Amino acid sequence: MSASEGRLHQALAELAEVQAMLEQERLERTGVEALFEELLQAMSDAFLFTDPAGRIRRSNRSAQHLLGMSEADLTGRFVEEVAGPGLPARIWDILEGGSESQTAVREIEVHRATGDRVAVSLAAAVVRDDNGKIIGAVYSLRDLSVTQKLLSDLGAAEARWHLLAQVSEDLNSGLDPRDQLDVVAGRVTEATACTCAIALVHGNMGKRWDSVFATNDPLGYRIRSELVGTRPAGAIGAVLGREEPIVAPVCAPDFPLLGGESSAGIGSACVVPLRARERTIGVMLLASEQQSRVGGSVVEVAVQVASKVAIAIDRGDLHHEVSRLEAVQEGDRLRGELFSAVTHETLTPLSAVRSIARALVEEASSESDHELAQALTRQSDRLYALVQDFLDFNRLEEGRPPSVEMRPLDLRAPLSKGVAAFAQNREIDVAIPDDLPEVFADADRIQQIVGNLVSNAVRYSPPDSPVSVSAQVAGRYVEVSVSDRGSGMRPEELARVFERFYRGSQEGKTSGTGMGLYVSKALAESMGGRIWAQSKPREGTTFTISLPTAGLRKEERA
Amino acid sequence: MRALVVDDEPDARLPIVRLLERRGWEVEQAGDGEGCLETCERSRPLAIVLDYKLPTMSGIEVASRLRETGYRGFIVLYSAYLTPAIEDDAKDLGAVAVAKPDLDQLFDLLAELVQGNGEGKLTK
Repeated sequence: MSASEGRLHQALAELAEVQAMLEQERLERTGVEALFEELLQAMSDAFLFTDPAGRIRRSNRSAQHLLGMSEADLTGRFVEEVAGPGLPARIWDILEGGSESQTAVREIEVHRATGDRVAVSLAAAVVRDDNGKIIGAVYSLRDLSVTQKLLSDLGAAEARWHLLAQVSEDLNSGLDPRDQLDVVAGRVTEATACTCAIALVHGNMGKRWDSVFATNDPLGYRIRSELVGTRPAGAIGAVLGREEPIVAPVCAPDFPLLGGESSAGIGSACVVPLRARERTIGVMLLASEQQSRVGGSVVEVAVQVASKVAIAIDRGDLHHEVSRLEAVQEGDRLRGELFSAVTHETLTPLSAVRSIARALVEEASSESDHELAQALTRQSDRLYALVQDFLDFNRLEEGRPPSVEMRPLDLRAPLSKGVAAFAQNREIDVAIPDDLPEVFADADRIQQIVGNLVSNAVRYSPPDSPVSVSAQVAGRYVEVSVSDRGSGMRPEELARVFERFYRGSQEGKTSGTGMGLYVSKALAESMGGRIWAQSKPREGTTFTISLPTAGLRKEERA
Repeated sequence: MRALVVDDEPDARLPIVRLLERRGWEVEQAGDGEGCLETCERSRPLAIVLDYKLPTMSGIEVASRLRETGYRGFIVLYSAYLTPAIEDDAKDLGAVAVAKPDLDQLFDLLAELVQGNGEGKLTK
């Protein structure tokens, strides 16, 4: 290969390389072009490109939409022809209008193909090539009607948010949200330019408008005086039974909005129920003397404010109810404590009376004195047992077991004393074997339990029917039974007979506290014993307590 | 001078009986309305001290039955459960109500009635 041939090849190779580079550049340029085109079409702003003479060469979709013309219609026309005289029509207009080669942004009106006009913000710029030669102009147009709506929507949303925040603050500012309802009504009026009234009903689907709060203007005053103290009626009354608001954008003169025969001069209104926890506590009314004034966003505001008001009032009422219950509970507790303290105080003189009665029984020199002293003993024993019942009951309520003093014990004395104290004028048949083993128990408590059982038997059986008390050994326990021939109990009554305050089907027919059996059960169990009841309707009832013998207790300890 | 004390609680009757006896009365007792009517029929006491709360019939019912059977003596309704209505009923039956346990008032009243000074209290 000759040298010249070699140089030629090289030159060819170099040329091909340049061509490839050029081709690559062209491809890249096309890619950029396509991307640019895509972006241009996607822009929400309108773009127009003109040649140096002012003829439109290109437009994007937003421009076609803004001006109401197709791309073909636009291409080749002068800008002022299609968009009106507001635009700088020629290059020199642009250069004149701003610094360097572009205009300042300004607001103008453009004409649309349909004939109407649209406010836009405009920016225009001169386009030059790499050498600085002017090759055309670009116009950017932004539809302000869209922006303005967005801005006003944004403003409304912000205003509403502000209103709701203020209303929340008002409602939470005091103890009772009701005190703030006048203020809330005023705020709603400020925000909506409609008169606002909040009417509450008292109690359960109340009979009357209990309290009415309204904007301090003539219409508000009129609404309040029409409603206060009247029965809910008309549209406003109907809303009490609904979950949804009633909206009346146009009230005919005979529309019974407030319950009267006319619309009370109200041209448009909406009534929103105030609902909280599945109940309606009142309504919120937005009204205007102008027709069509109330609707759309005003109703939305009303619904949102009404929801806040309803929840606040309900919460206030709950809070009030809770405080009331707390006060009642505290009162109960104090009364209980006082009662318990007073009862405790009676134990000292009462114990003294019992001792004196016992002394009198021994000291009595005549049969007649002895009889009186015996009566005194029985009645003071009875009172003592009743006071003990009460104190034991209180201890149980506080979660403490009754106190018992256990020792080996002959049952005969406490049994006969318990019987005597509560026998009243009934003959009680007492059958206690002489050889009954000693039990390990508290004598006063045995007397108290037997007293309760006898008292029960006497009260729940006919005056002339027999009541019997018996005792027998059952293994290493002694069982003491008190039986009556009363009306007996049904199984469901029997099951509940040891419950506190349970008085059975005889409640109201007989006296009693409902504490006796409840306390007796706790006492029997505190002494290591048991108590149970057996009963048959129309045959009678037997209560039995079983107590460990002293021997058993000795074995257990050994 | 015979009196009849009616109360279903023997221990409540006892002190009244004893204290009346000390004041010179011959005293009989009954535990219910039926017993009262029966004893009254038999022994025609000058005065009857009658509890209001009795097992089968109230003191007012007993007083009413006593008047129906022609008993003309003094009836004192002696009760811890007096109300203006019961007092009015008592007056209508020519009886006087005394609040339990005011024994002094009971004995003073009986003394006045016996001396003929208390008749005014038996009418409205």
